[in-house]
Amino acid sequence: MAKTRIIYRQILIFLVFAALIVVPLTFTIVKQVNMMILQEEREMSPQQAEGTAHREFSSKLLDQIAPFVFYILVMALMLSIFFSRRMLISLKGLQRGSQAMKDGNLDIQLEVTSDDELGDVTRAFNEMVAALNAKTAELKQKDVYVNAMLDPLWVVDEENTIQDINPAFTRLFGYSREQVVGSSIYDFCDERNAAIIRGQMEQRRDRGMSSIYELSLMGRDGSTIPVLVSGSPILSGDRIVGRIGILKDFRDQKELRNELQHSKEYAETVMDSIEDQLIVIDKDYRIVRANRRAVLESRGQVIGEFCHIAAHERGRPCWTEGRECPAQMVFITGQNYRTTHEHVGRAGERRFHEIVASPIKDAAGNVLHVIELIRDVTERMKHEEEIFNKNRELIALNSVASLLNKSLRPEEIFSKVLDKMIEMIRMDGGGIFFIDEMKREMTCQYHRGISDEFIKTMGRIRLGEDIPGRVAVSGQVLTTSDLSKDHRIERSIIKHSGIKGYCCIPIRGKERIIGVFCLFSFRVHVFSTEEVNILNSLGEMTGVALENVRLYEKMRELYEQQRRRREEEQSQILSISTKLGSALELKDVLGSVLDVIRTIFNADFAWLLLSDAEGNLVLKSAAFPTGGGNEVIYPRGVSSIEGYAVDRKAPTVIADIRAETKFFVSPVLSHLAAQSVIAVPMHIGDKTVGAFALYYVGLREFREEELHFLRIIVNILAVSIERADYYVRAIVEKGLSDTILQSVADGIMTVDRSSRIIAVNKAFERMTGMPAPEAFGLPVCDVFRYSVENMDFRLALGECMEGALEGRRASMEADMVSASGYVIPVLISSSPVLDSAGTVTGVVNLLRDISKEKEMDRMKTDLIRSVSHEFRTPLSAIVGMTEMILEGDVDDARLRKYLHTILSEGVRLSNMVSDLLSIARIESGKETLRRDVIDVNAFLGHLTGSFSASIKQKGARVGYDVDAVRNFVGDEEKLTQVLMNLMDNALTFSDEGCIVEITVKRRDDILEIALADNGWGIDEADIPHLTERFFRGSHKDKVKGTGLGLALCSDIIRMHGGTMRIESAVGVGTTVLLSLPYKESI
Amino acid sequence: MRIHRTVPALVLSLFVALVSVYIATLNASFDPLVISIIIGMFVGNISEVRELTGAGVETAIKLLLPAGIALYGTQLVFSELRPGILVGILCAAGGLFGLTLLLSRVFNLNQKLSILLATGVAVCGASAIAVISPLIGARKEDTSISVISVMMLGLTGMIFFPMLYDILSLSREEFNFLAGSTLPMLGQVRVAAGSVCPECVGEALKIKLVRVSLLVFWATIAVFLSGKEERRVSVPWFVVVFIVLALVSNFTRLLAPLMEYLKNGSTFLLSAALAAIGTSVDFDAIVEEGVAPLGVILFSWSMIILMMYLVRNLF
Repeated sequence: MAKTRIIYRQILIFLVFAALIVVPLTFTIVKQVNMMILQEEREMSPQQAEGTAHREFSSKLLDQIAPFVFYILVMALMLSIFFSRRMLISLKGLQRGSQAMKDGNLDIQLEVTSDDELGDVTRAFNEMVAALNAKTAELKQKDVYVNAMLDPLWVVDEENTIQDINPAFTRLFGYSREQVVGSSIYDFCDERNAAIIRGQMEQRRDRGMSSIYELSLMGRDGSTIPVLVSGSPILSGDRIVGRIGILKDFRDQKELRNELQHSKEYAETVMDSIEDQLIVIDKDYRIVRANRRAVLESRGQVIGEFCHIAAHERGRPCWTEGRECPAQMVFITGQNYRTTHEHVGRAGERRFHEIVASPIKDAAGNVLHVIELIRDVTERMKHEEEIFNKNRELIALNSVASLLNKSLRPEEIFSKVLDKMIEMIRMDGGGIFFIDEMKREMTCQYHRGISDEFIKTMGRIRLGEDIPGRVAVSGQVLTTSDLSKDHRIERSIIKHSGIKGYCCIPIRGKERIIGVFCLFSFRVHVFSTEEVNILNSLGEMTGVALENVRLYEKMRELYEQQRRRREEEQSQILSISTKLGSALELKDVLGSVLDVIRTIFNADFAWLLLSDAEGNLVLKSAAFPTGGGNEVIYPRGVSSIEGYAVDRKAPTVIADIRAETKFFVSPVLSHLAAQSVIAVPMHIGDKTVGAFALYYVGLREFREEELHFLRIIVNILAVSIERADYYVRAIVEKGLSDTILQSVADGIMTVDRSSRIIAVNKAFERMTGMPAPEAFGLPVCDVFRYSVENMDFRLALGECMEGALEGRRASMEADMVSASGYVIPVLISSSPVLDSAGTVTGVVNLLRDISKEKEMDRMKTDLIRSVSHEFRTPLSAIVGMTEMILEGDVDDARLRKYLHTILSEGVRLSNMVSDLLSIARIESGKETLRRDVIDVNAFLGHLTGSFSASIKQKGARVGYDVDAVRNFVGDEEKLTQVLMNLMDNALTFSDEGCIVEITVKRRDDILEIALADNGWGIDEADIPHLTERFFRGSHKDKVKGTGLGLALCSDIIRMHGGTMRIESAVGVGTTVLLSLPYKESI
Repeated sequence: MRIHRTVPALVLSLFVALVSVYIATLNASFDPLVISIIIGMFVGNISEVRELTGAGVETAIKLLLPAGIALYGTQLVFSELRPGILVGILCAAGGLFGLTLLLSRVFNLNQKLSILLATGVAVCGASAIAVISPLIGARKEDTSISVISVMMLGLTGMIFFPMLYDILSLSREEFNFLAGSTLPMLGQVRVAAGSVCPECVGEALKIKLVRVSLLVFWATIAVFLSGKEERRVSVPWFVVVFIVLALVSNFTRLLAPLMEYLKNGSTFLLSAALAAIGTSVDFDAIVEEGVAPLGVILFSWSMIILMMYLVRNLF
């Protein structure tokens, strides 16, 4: 039978089922149809039935049915496929899952495709796989633990047959798992160990518990391996089904045990080899362990004894004697303890023991025992004591030495040294006796431990008597341990005073013995050699110190004297220099200064001669009046002591001037009869100033320091004179430069490098409105802050100053708003101020008001414009007419008219030029005024006469009124020009029949000339401009003119120092008022 | 080794084809190709048979299929290509082809299976699938399931079309067009048309033959659609022969005496090839695919028929 699958079966079942329905149905239908046909055929006539086609019908029917059958069968196939699909997928999944499981892959999870039984089966499969997976993982983990164990492990059954081992077993014993499993555990041990195992087994079996015991098992190489077996029963319910044993390799532990034993022995050896006693004490203070030395020292049983009995040989513990018990301290504190105890030895000798006690602690830190190391340190203690004593002596010695070095007072030295000595050698008292060389006696001046009465009783000791006296003579130290028993000393006041120990030390100076130290004790005192040496050296040290003190005091006294003298000299210099410095005019003080100098040097006369330009010595001042200064005392070439000193440039001392023939003495001093003279030259650098001289009537010797002092004073004098001279000159120069600076019309300000003002002049003050004291120190730009419009100016100033600070001159123009609010065009010129090295130390800024220049410029431009304009009109008329004439096409009448016009225009031009020249001359200042005496009547008469034609033509009436003025001084020609101009104007700008009045009046020093007309008058707006050049008023169209007349008049009057005023009203008339300074005659 | 495997496989295929051809002669609705693949499947899944044939089946397929395809060229008839019918057929077939591909994507069928289904439905059922499958390198499971599905579809149409003729009161021409353009297999067309009227058979078959003659066109599209990975331009020899035979048989009288043999030969060889395919295919694989392919083509087919009806009623 072919192997079929569930799917095929299912499909086949479907197909068979379909076939079972379809095939019988088909046949039934065919059969039924056939039967029906046969039935019909039977009922039909045989003829009809004959030849019918019914037999073919069945096949046709089958043909028709066949596709349906086929369809149904294929449909059945498709349906079976449809129904089987799910099942097949699930089954295949399960099959795959199972296969995977079989292959050991447990990480599978099947997809649940349906919710039917197959789905349940799939889910169950998944759960099963998951559970299996978890279990397997757990088992693997456990396997890992067991395999990872470092200790071998065996599992045995009830029959003690090994069931399993781990890899560690193989590693330790060398057997493989296969060799071991199934064999008995007794196969791996000898009889003895087998017995142990059996014993343990029985015990364990009885108790059902685990147990630990030691065994030796045989390895594969035949070696015996000690192990520690830890066995436990394996229980299944209450029944023991086997045992598990963990075998711990015990080879190391055995070795450790041996090592421990060795260590113990070693420790004991070490303990015994220690030279000191070593004992271990328990909490009952009993000795539990002791080294050999300790046992030897105690000469008996040590172990079990109390520590104080065994170790210190005493019946009581240490602490009963007021000392700490080291063991007790360690038990209490838990810390190490070190101490030194003094014990009395068997022979009664003192012994010192150093005890070092240390705790022995358990793991919890509790002190179990105390270990004590006892060392005999008696020898060391003795040495220490000795060193201590030495040290004490040295300290005392040192302190005495330092005392001697530090102190300069003998009382302090002696009393302290005495104290130190007494303390050092532990005496009860002492004293110091000083020698009085003159009286050859000794007296006690310092004492300790003895009453004053006893000292008085002792009184004075003669040299050589008693102990101190003898020592002072011999210079040897004397000591005695017991004075009362000393045979060397028979006669002494202290022999029977109770003093026993006694010593006497000489105090040695450099060359002699100054005194004696005496020390005593009421006890017997044996003086050691060291003590004697120390005392001796102390005596010497004290003596030297004392001498040093005396020397010091002497030095000090000398120093004081010196100092006083210096102070005196300084105060004298001070007073002189104060005097010289207090007045600038030296003449006032020089006399008194010389007097002071004279007094200082106790001279009879002093004077100061100065060298003048010719080399003469001129009297500047003298200590007392000699009659007038600046008198030539020694002309050049005369040999004088002062001249000699000046030539030598060194002070010259002449003991007796009278004996010296080579020096000429001024007759001024003839009355003095001086004997000794000292002359000191005065120089400043190489410049000779003069000479100072002191004259003494008697003989006088000069010490070097006096000479030196004098030179200092004379130098001061020279400097003062020179300085005063310079100062005077400086003042003059300063005044001059200040005057210049202040008188400059331009603003000047000088600034330092940081742009702060250090000097300004008056013009600057005027410009800025800031007084000089306020300006000083201000930053330069702050000065101009009073107006915000000065910003540009400040910038320009800053720029100039920057340039100047770089060392070059800079200048710029800028508009400055002055303090009064005017805008002034200013030219800023900044120049650097250089010092001798050429470094810029400041900047001088010159602020020049250039408004006038500006105005002049403007005026010039105006003038040129006006002149050219005014000239053009007549010139063009002349040129035009001349051209017309030259063309020739002009009749005679017109020719004449043209020529008249040319003439009048030419005259006008000529007048204009001459007026301009006059004005220019006046303005340039080249024109000078003549001073003529003018007869007023003649002057006016001449004036009206020259206008008679015009007056007549106009029908004008001209009158003049001269009020008591006959003459006056002025430039007749120019004034005539003025008045003719005015007269011309009056007549020109008036209608016919006008009236012109000329009035001449004198008012005090002013001569007033008024010229009034009743003409057309002038517009009020024109009046201020009338004196401007080329200004033509509102009548310019009616009348031709130059526009220069009034300007010229104004200038001429101004030249005379007068003024010209014009009053006018349109339609009323004009009055011109001239005011001139009046002077009747030249 | 190979030959002793190949011979039983070849013999078995030929035998199954022989049986199928015989069964097909029993009724017009039986298609030899389909029958042989079904028999092949059943026989092949008997484990003993599989052991016997083994890898030889592959060789058998490689021998039989190209031969069958090459000879199939003789079955193409171009004489009926008339513009009026051609447009209608192209519309119907194109609709079927496109809709099937689209639905296959919706139902998440693999691409080659969907191409096979589309071609099968649109052209001429099993034979078209047999021709296309080697060209696009389809799996045997896909070939099998598509053959069965397309046949199932054809059978359904064959049964229900006469009913539709009555219910919808279609004219005979309309019915002829419906049967000829939507039924995948020649036999089914014949049965369906025959059950309405014997005269209709000829008409419907003509339309069907026009569809068949467009196989080359659809095959080209199918290859183009599938060949995204490997754009090999080389044309297999059997395609060349196929085209040559198609041209020769249609435009010359050279093969007239042999025509019948060649046609039967092609059917026989294709049947044998499909039998071999059926033998080698794993039944489980077909079952796992389920009835989704059938559902897809049934749906697209129904839609097209519905559309045709709507178009007919509208105009």
